[in-house]
Amino acid sequence: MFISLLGLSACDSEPPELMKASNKFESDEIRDKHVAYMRTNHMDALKHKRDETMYDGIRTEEHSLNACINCHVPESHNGEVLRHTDQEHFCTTCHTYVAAKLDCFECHVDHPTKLDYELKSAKTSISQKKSILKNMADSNIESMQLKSLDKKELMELAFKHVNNQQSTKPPKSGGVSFKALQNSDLESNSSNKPNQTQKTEELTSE
Amino acid sequence: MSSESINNDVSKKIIYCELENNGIGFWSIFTFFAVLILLGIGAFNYMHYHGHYVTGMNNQIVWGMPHVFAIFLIVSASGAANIATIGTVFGKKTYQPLGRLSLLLAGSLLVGGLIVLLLDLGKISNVIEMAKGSINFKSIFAWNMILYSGFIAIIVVYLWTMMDRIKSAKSLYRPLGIANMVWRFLLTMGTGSIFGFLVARQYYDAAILAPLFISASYVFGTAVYSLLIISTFTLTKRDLGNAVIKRLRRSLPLFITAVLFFEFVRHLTNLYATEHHGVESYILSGDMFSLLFWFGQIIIGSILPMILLWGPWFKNHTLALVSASILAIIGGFIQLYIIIIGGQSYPLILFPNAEISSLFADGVFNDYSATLSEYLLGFGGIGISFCIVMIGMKIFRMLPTILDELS
Amino acid sequence: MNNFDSYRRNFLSIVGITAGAAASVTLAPNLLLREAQAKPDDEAVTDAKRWGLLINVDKLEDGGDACIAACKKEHGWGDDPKSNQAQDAQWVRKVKVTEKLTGHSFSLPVMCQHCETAPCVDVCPTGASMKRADGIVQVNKHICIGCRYCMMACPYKARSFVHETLVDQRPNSPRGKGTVESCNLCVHRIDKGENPACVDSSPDAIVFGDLNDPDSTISKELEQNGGSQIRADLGLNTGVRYQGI
Ligand code: HEC
Ligand code: HEC
Ligand code: HEC
Repeated sequence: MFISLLGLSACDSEPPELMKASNKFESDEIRDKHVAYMRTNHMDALKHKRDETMYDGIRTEEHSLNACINCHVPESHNGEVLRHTDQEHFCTTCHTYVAAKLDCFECHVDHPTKLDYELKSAKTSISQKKSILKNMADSNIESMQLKSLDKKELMELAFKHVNNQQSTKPPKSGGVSFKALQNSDLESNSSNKPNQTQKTEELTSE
Repeated sequence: MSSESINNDVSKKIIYCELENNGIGFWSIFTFFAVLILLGIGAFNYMHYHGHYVTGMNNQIVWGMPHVFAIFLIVSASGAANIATIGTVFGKKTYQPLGRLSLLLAGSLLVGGLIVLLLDLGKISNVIEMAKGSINFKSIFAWNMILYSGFIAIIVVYLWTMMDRIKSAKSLYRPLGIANMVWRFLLTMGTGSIFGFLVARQYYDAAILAPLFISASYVFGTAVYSLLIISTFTLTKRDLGNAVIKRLRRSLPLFITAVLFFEFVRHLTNLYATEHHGVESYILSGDMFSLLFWFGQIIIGSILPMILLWGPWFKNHTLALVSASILAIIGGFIQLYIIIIGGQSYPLILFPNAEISSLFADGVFNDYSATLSEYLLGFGGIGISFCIVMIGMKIFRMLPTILDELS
Repeated sequence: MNNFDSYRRNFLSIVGITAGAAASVTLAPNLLLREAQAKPDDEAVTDAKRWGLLINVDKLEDGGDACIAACKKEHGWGDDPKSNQAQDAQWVRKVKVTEKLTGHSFSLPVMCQHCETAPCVDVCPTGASMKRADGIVQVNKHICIGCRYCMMACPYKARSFVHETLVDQRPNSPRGKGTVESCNLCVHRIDKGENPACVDSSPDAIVFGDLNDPDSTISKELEQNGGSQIRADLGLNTGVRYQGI
């Protein structure tokens, strides 16, 4: 009896407060559309996208689960990683409320990761590291274990190298893009993405 | 006796009857199997919660003890229905009254085996996706799903034709007996083919596994069925009579001979092909699996039962049939263990004529020791089978009250 | 500047291009020209391409350690905390081969060979084990029930089963308890026009490219110098070929 009362009151009450998305849409209109669409269709959209990616290799941002997470889950919450097992997690809050099981996060990472793929693809891969190092006139670094270089060290090295080399190039784009690289790597906050993209375009269209 | 029914096929009146409530006896046995189920459920929860790292299975031995149990149950299911087939299709009067129980046992064993197989899956929630239509019809596994569910459907209808007195039931009795027989063949062949088409593994990859499994199913099924009827008839103080025992005593060793024959041919052909020499010597003259093979499967599981049943010393001893059946079951279990675990234990041959090694167990014999939870899961399947059988015998009229007078 | 231009073309077609990308272009204009032209993100893959790898074992000085490390890093496998060594995932491993007669010995990385007629695809009851139109064999874990039949069927032991609950997976390589996994040739990178991680880690020894395109480096190299398959006797027509074995 008591339990059923509780259940009833839960039905009557307002839906729980959801954590605000960490990224904004360009306009309120788009956001409202998104909210209206997602509230009813996110399950189908996600599953559709899932199959598209698996079978056809379609990798657009639209309805990508990683993109949802990057927008909807903060990188840290009260100084800790917010996991799907926490009630505050965007997907969990609501799913607990509607009592719908969600097993996606058994495999998919449930919080934004620094190794976001756009950033990652831009990041120097090992072969690139090698060729960078090969080209370095000044360095005795070759003797170093390439594998042991961490991201930051490598960035610094590369940065030095670029500054040396860039003298033959228009200094502006080289300098700017490289700062952005550092930025994106160390902070990788997608909120400054538009900015970066713009700069890239500047660079590539020259 | 609550009520009676008349079997249409036999001119004499056979009186079938539910198990009477024998108080403590029935319920304590039932409780035993129910506890097995509970333990199995516990083991399943444990494995499922933690993941398979708590089992002895790994990336080398990917199928372990649960699969041995499951395949044993499934294969014996097919054999258990043989009694019904002989009664219906070959008109053997002795077996006809026993047909009902034979089908009940077959269905229950199959269900038990399938549940073990299901509960060992890594991600059971995705089975729903299969139900929604993602099935690959090229897969022998998928075919088996169809064969298994078809088998259960046939059993249900077949049972109905045995038990109902209306005309349509009577006319369907024989066709269904035949359908059941054919289906059983396909089913066991399908189960054997799970292994038979694995080109990767030296020990499998042979079409002869299909007939081997068929003959093995007769052994397992007959042995389990013998144990079941002897124990129920004894415990319910019904009279089993000599004729049935005699038949079972004669057929069980025949089936064992068939298995031995196919094993012999299989190993012989393997020995003929040079590429299989390695695995053959591993199984036939190595360490553990050879011990299991020669002592477990051949001596305990085959020779001893044959002596017990064919030898002149124990004529008409029910006890001889009982012990032979138990031995045959143990032997059969070991046989499957050797096929399933032994076959995986032998390393894959990536480069013939070369020795290979890696951090991922290349070129070595893989160890496997089953953990308690795997055993419990398997025994849970047995519990399920026999709980179903007992409930079935309790609420349906499965067994005749007396058999002797028929012989 | 030619390289640079083709680079730019590739990159322009990538949605979400970042300044970082541009930076790596400017700082290393002499990088290898990548053959894998990026397809537009919203375009489905077709069977016009068939991706393949050619691994030159002689040039692989470390026997594949570097590419194994790169794969681990890319996909995050290799130290699942609770699994024992036989249970831990192994997408690619270094196999040491010693010929019995001659004693000649070499090491090579072995992973999913991306067979044309893949046994794992045939046996999978749900169709989770799949071959994409462009020849990549992978597991669609969303419908994988974890029966491990594909692991039984694979002649290369290329597949692993995840034996425990995992957290903090790579965003591009979701892995989870109870499903089977294997090398997927870094589909997420290929779809973006990049090389698989192992190729980038040993660019001199491993060539990645389109086997259907007679003009690709890999096809030309294969035509000239050939490349063998492991267990060619099985007739699986693998997409991964080796030289020097
Ligand atoms: C560009 C960032 C962004 C992305 C990507 C994104 N969202 Fe949102 N989403 C928002 C914003 C902003 C809102 C409005 C509510 C807020 O401010 O938190 C919202 C609202 C929602 C809501 C409604 C919540 C409510 O109040 O009822 C749902 C459901 C939702 N998103 C699901 C998803 C899913 C599923 C995906 C991935 C397919 C996704 N979103 C991707 C930014 C995003
Ligand atoms: C057993 C592991 C597993 C589970 C559980 C799982 N996924 Fe995935 N998912 C994957 C893998 C592997 C990929 C392929 C990634 C790739 O190819 O880059 C993927 C890709 C996707 C993609 C396309 C990539 C992207 O980020 O857009 C979507 C969408 C997706 N999954 C949605 C879901 C949803 C929704 C659920 C929960 C219902 C779910 N997945 C559960 C393993 C899993
Ligand atoms: C506003 C509430 C709400 C939020 C926020 C929400 N969901 Fe849902 N979700 C639902 C409801 C309601 C269902 C439908 C449940 C049902 O049909 O039983 C659902 C269903 C799903 C399903 C299909 C489940 C199935 O078993 O078929 C998936 C997948 C899913 N949600 C993923 C997500 C992900 C990922 C997020 C976070 C990005 C999320 N949801 C956030 C309300 C929400």
